Amino acid sequence: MPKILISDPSLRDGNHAVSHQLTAEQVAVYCAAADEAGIPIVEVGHGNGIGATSLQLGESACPDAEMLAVARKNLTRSKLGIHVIPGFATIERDLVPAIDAGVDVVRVASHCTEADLTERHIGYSRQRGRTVYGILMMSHMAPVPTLVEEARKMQSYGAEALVFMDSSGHYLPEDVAERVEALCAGLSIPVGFHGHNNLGMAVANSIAAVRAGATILDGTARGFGAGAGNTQLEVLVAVLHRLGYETGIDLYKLLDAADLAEKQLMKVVPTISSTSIVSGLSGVFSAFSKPVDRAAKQFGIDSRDIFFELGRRRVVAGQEDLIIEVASDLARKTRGEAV
Amino acid sequence: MAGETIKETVQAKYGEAALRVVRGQGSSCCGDPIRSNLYDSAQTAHLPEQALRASLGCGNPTALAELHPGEVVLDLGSGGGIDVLLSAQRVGPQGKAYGLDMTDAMLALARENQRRAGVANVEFLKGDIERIPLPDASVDVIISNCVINLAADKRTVLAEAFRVLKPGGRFAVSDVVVRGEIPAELRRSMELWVGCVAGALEEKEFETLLAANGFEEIEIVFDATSAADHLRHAPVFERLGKIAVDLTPAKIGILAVPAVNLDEALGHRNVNMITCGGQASIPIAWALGQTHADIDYIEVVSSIASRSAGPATRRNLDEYIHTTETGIQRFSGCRRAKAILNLNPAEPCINMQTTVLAKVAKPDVEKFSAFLREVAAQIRRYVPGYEVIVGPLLENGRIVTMVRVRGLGDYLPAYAGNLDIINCAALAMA
Repeated sequence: MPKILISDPSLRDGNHAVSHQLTAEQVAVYCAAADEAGIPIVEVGHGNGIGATSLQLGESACPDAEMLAVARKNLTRSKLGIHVIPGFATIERDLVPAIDAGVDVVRVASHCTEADLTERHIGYSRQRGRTVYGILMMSHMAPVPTLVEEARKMQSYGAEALVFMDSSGHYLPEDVAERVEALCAGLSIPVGFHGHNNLGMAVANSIAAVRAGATILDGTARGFGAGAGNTQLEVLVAVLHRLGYETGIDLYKLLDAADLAEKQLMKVVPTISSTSIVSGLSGVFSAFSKPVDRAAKQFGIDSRDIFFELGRRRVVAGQEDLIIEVASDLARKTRGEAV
Repeated sequence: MAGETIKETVQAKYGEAALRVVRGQGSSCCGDPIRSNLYDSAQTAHLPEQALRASLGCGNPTALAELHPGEVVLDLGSGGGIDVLLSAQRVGPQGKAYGLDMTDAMLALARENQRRAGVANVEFLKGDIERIPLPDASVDVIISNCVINLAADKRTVLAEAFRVLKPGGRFAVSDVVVRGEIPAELRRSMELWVGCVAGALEEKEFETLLAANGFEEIEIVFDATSAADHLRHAPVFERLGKIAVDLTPAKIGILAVPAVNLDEALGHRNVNMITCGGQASIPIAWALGQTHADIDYIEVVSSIASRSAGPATRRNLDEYIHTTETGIQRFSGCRRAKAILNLNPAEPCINMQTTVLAKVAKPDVEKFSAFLREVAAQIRRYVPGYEVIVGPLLENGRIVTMVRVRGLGDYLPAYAGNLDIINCAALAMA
């Protein structure tokens, strides 16, 4: 049975769940626990990656530099990873200092149809001798052949693995298997999957991924993450071990880390709320739930209507400003005004 | 390859292409990167479909040429006639549009298209572009769309073009040029010659040829290549005494936003148009600066249609961000600035939208709104599609303003407002 490489973005994707308010202290304790458990890669940062702190996406409580310094100190066996989105992060301002701070794994991400935005960031990270992955976000928004084409671009830029994300928790297992098969056939680099749990399918989707040939999986403690949360890591690892896959992770210590995360990182353990179901069905980015709820309250509109309208408009990550516009439009329509 | 052989092969291939159109099959030349989105639907709405399908060009030179009523225009290598028919519209009944082509089948097609379009001020001539059948100094504007690369003797083509042009006449060329060397085997390939690439000149060769044949008096150069390229071009423009209007984010020269600092920018030899997002947002940032004494932070988030973002934009993302931020700070006096760019692949394409979020000490939304209304009206003089769509309003303690920029849809698709705004600003500057 092949070895599955686990990458844990609890301290990055999880940041969405707390409006990017994770503190240096929280980063320190979880990193120590993750390192102890032997989690291969621990990803740290603002929910949208380094350099993303902004009014648009939310300002982080802890600056990138501090987070990375603290994480680096507390990870000895585990590798330190970051998420980077060109258009939010620039090489000069964000990537250079991050790599200088000792980041091992750079995961450069774009919307699933815009891979060519990642060329320079991938190139620079390879130049600096880092491990570099290409990440395709909101992957359900492209037909499979397009996904493969975009993945091949990232491979050509120097990505050493390709991870595709189910950012809105929209997939069913057969959807994931189809994509993994196509990617494995079209690429010569390893393929990975990053799940979200809006339709309760994250672990099953991840298993379908490895059965179809993926060798990298993302998961977070207790599913700590945007909206309905990510693939619940300790559940995933338990299932993988039972199926005979190796992860190199100590299950008991992983469970301890998850207990710690529940107590110290999150306000609530992720559950699948009605909003999450709607965002999963409509294929809208999970991390929109908070700003959508806020806009729904402000304009007196049903948040579910906002989600379906956002889905119809095919918004992508980073377009939170459109939420205000959609809510405003819906409110005017309801009042019978011309839009 | 012998000149005659080239000519015969080109004639044969393009003759065939014309016949394919007549038979109802698609034309096909090079793929999308060069040919998509060249002509806007508004522009081509009243042209016969066959003219469109026969179009094998690589640009839209009637967009480049700025034609005026009453002028005489000549299209070298007119093919199915699309550029001639478009030019005829622009020069009006007092003007005249000639098309020159050597391929019988293409001429037949063009004349048929002329008949269907019902235009009188058009004439299609048979002949070679190396021997233009028109008298000296008889034409105001020559346009050519992806044709010069096909000629065996380019020097003569350019010399002829110079001959028939009136003094002060204009030559608008849309053509394939290459950067760097084309390998010798490729140059010898007849396939690739008719496919435009092998015969294409190296960029500098083209410029040298133009200069050698008497074309001069370029006063203003618009550089829309890339930031890295502009850094190389700028000293050349300066040495040659040309005014450079820089549409890349290289920001060597003075940052310019016409509605804000037009007067200041005139008189500078290198004018930087910042970025498309900058042109949309800086007037707002400036208005904030004029109405508020203490601005801590301004953030600009722009969303553009993926289709409107070409390879240069995508490679220059970092430069875009840094240059926009510099512009925001310079024009607003804010302490910190941040720029974000989102590419949205949704179809139908989204219009360019820019949101400006500001953290200010004492927000005065009313005063700011009034001032902004004035500024927006100014901008609409050169970008009619600039509209404030949300706010200004106070949300979560910050001043939020959203603008949408719809392009005019005359040269470029309407959704590409981001391209319109920077190009219109550049023209307004010029």
